Amino acid sequence: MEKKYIRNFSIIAHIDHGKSTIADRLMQHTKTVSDRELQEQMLDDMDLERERGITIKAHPVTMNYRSDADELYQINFIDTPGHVDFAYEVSRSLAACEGALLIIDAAQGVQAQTVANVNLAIKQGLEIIPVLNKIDLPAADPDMCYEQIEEILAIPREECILASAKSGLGIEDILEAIVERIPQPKDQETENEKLKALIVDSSYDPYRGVINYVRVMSSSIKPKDSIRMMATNKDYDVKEVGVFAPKMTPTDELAPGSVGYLIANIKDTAESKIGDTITSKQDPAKEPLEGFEEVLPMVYSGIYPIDTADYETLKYSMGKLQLNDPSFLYQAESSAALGFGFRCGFLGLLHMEIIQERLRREYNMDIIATYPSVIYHVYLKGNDKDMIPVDNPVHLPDPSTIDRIEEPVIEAGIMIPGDYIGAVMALIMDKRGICLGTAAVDERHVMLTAELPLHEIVIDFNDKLKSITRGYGSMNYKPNGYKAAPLVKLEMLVNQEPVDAFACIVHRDHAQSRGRRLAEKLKEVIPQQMFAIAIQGAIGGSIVARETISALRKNVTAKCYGGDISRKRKLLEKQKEGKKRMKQIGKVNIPQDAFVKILKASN
Amino acid sequence: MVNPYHSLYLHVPFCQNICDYCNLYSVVNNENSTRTSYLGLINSQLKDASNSLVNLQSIFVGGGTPSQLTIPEMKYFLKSVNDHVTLRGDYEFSVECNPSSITDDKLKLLRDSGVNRLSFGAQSTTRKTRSVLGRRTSKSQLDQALNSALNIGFENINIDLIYGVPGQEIEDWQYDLETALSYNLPHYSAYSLILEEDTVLAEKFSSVDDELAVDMYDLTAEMLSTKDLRRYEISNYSKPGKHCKHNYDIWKGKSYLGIGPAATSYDGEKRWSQIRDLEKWIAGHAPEIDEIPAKDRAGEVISFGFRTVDGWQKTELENICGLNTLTEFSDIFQDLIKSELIYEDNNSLKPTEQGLLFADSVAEAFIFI
Repeated sequence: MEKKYIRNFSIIAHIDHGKSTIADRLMQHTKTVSDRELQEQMLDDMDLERERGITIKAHPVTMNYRSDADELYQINFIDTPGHVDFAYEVSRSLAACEGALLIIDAAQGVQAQTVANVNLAIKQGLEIIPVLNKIDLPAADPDMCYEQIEEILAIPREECILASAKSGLGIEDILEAIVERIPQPKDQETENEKLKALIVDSSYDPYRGVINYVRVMSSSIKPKDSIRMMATNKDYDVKEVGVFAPKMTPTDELAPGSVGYLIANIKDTAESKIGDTITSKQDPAKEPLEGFEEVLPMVYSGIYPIDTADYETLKYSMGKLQLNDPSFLYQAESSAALGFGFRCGFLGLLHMEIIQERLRREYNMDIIATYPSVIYHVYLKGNDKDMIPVDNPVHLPDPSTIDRIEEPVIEAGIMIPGDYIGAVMALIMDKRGICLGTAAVDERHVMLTAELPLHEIVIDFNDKLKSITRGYGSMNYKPNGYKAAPLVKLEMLVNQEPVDAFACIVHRDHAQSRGRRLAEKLKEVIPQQMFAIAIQGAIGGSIVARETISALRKNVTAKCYGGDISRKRKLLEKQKEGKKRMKQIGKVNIPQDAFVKILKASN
Repeated sequence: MVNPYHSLYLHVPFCQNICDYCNLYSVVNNENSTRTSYLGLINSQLKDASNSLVNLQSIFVGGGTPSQLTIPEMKYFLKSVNDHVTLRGDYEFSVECNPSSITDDKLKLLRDSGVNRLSFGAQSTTRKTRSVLGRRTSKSQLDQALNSALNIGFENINIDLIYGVPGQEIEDWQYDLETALSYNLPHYSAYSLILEEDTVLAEKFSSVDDELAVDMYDLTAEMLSTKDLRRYEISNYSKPGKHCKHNYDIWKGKSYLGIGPAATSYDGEKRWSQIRDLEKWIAGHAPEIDEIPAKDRAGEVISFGFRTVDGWQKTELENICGLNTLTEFSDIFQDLIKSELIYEDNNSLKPTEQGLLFADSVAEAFIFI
C-alpha cells in the first residue's frame, strides 16, 4: 500500500463517551469484522477492561476502506486508554498517528481528561476530528458542546461530525473525514531511505515471544529481514509481520507509514523497549526516532502473596505482567508482618487496582496489597543537600533526625458544572489543596485549577469528586514538584508491637482520625484471643487512638466423649494449621484475611 | 489370649424424634425387621468379642434412645450382654433413658438385668428452653420417671442439662438448676450448648453467647457445690465417689469396645468407628480405622485427661501409650504452666479454672503438625 492510501489515527474520549462502540461500528462498516463476529466492544481483550469500560492497552487495528471517490485505503486505528492514569500510553499511541478522533458525549460535553489529551495531540501536530456522539439522546446538547469545543479547544464548530454509534448515524462521515482530513504519513526529514520503525507497544506470547506493535516511519519490514534495536544494539531476524484485523493476520511486509506487528524471536521484553527504534542490521540508520519520555510511577504499594510459598510464582507473574506493561515496576522487599513480597510502582490508583486485579484473575494469585504511598523527599537535620526518597513508610528515618518532609504535589484541572463550585472548593480544602484559579468554559461549566498533594489524589479524591458532582465533574492532573508539609508516620500497634503493614505517612491533622478508623477496623477483624489485646495508633511516642479487644471467655467443647475424639482431633488439626498460616505479632495471631480486610477498607 | 477391654459401649440408634440440637446418630423411621436385624447383630458381635469382654469395669448403653426399645427388644438386648460379657465386682452398668419412653416395667427389667446406673436426658425443666431445643419431654414426665427410678431402687442416677441456649436468661438457668437439685441426685451433667453442624439449631442460630455461657458455667459450679456436688470434668458434677466411671476411664485413655452403628472403639493403639448408617452397618460395612502414631495418640490421651479436674498424676504421665511423656512433652507442659492453663499440685499436673474453660487450647498444644 502506498503511503498516500494509509491513514493512522487514534481516538480520544472520556470513559463512557462511546469510544469502543464507535470503533466497533467502524470495523463493522469496513467489514473488518462480520456482524456475526462483532462481539460487543471488540477491542477490549481483557475482561477487566470490558468490566470497567476502559481500555488500558493500546491495541492497533487495521481496516480497509473504499472511499466515496472509490479509492482503497488502509486505515490503522491505534486505541488509547481513557483514564487519567494512562496519559503515558495516550502519548505513545499519538506518536504513531497523524490524526485523532475526538469523541464527545453530546449530553455530557467535554471533560477535563479529554482536554488534556487533545492538547497533547495538538502539540504533536495531529489533525483533530471532533465527533459528537450519542446525538440521538434526548439529553444531547450540541450547542453546549460546540461552545466548549470552540472555547476550550479552539476548534471551529463546523468541523464537528454528529454521530450515534448506537444507530450507526455518522459512521460513514467519520470514515470519509479520516481519509479526507487526516494527512498521509509524512516522510522522514533525514535518512528517509533507511528503515526506521517505532516500537509503540508490545505484548508477550508464551510460544512466540515478544510481539512488538510498530509504526514504520521509513522503508519497510519483511519476514527474514535482519533488524537491529537501536537502544539495546541487539540484532534479530524477523519471523513474521502482519496487521491486526482485528485478530493477528500475517502480511508480506509492513510498508512505510503503516502500523502492524512484528515477531522476531525476542524472548525478553527488556530487549525490546517501547519507544525504541527498529532499523536494518545491514543498513542501519544513524539517528533513532524521538522516543518516549520514560514515565515514573507515582504511586507505590507493597504486594505480598497470602501464602508465603507463592512468592516465586508471584515474582514470575509480575514479570509476565511487566512484559505487557512496562510502566509497572516491582522490586523485592520484606515485611515483618507480611513476609516476602514486592514494592510496586504504579502510574496511579486505577493502574494499581488493575494490576492487582490482573494478578488475581489472570494469574490466580492470592495477594494482599498495602496502603498506597507516594515518594516523599526527606531531608535530615543539618544536611540540606542529601535528599532521601521514601516510598515505604517503614523506611522513614527516626522523626527526631528529620528536618522536613516534602511531598509530591500536582496541578489539577477540574471541570465541573458551575452549581457545584462551592462543594468542590470545600473538597479541595479538605484534601489540603489550594485553588489556583477558575475559568468559565461555557455558560454552565467551570474549569478549576488547583494544587493538591498527590497522596490525597491517590486515595479517594476522584471518587469524592464524582459523588459530589453527581458524576458530572472530571479531572486531570500533572506533577507539579514537591512541597514541604507537616507529615508524620502513623503506626499501628497490636499489644505494643508495631505492625509494619499498617504504617502510613499522613498529614499531622489527619493522623488521629485515620488512627481511630484503623483501630476500629482492626478491632473488628482480629479474633478474640485468650487475653485482651490493645490496639493503638501512635505517632512517635504518643498514642492517638486506642481500642481493646476483650479476652475470649472460653475455648472448650462442652461435650466430649469417646465417640468425639477422632472428629475433635481433625478439627483441632485444622485450627492449628490455620494458626500456622496466621501472622504472629508478639503473642497475637492475626489471620491473613484481617490484613486484606483492613488494607481494603483503608484504601 | 486377647487383651481384654476395659469397658464396653453399646449404641442404640433409635429415637422417637430427633431433637434440634442433637447430632448423635439415630433414626426415627424403622421397620420391625430392621430392629430385629440390629438386635441380632449386636448379639453376634458381642458373642464374637466375648473373649475380650471379660471382667469389664463398665458398660454404657447410649443412643439414640435405649429406653425406646420395647420390653421384648430390651430383654433380648440385655440378655445378649449378660450372655457374653463378664463384669468385675465394682462394675458400673449405665443406660441412657428418655423420661418419655421409660416405664416402670422397663426400669424393673433394667434393674433385674444388672443395670446399676441411669442417665436421663432432661436438658431443661423450662418450657421456653425446651422448645428452642426441640425437646418434647415434659417436666411432669421427668418427675414421674425419676420417682419411678428411685422407687424401683436405682440410686446412681444422672440427669443431663443444657445451658447457653438462645433466649435462655441466667435466671432461667438458675431455675433449671434449682429444680434439678431438688431431685437430690448424686450426678449431674451440664453442657454448654454446642451448635453442631447439620442440626436444626445450627441452621437457626449462628452463635451462642459465650459471655453468658461462662456466667452460667460458674453459676452451675456454685449452686451444685452447696449440695456437695463437685465439678470433676468440664461438664460433669458428682457427689464423692459417684462420678461416671465409664466416661472417666475413657478420658484417661482406657480401652473400650464400641458396638452398634456410629460406635467408636479404642484398643490402646488404634481407634475405629462403625459407619453412621444403620442399614449399612447391618450389611456389614467395614469400620473406619484411625491409626495414629504413638506420639499423637499420647497427646490426644493427655489432652483428654486434662478435661478432668484432677488431671494427671506425674507417674501416670511417665507411661502414656508407651512414652514417657513427662520428659518427652515437658516443653509443652512448661508452656501450659506459663500460660496458666495447667498447674502443678503435689505430684500431679491439673488444669486451672482457665485451663478447663480453654480445654481446646490445651488440646491444641498436643497436636503435632
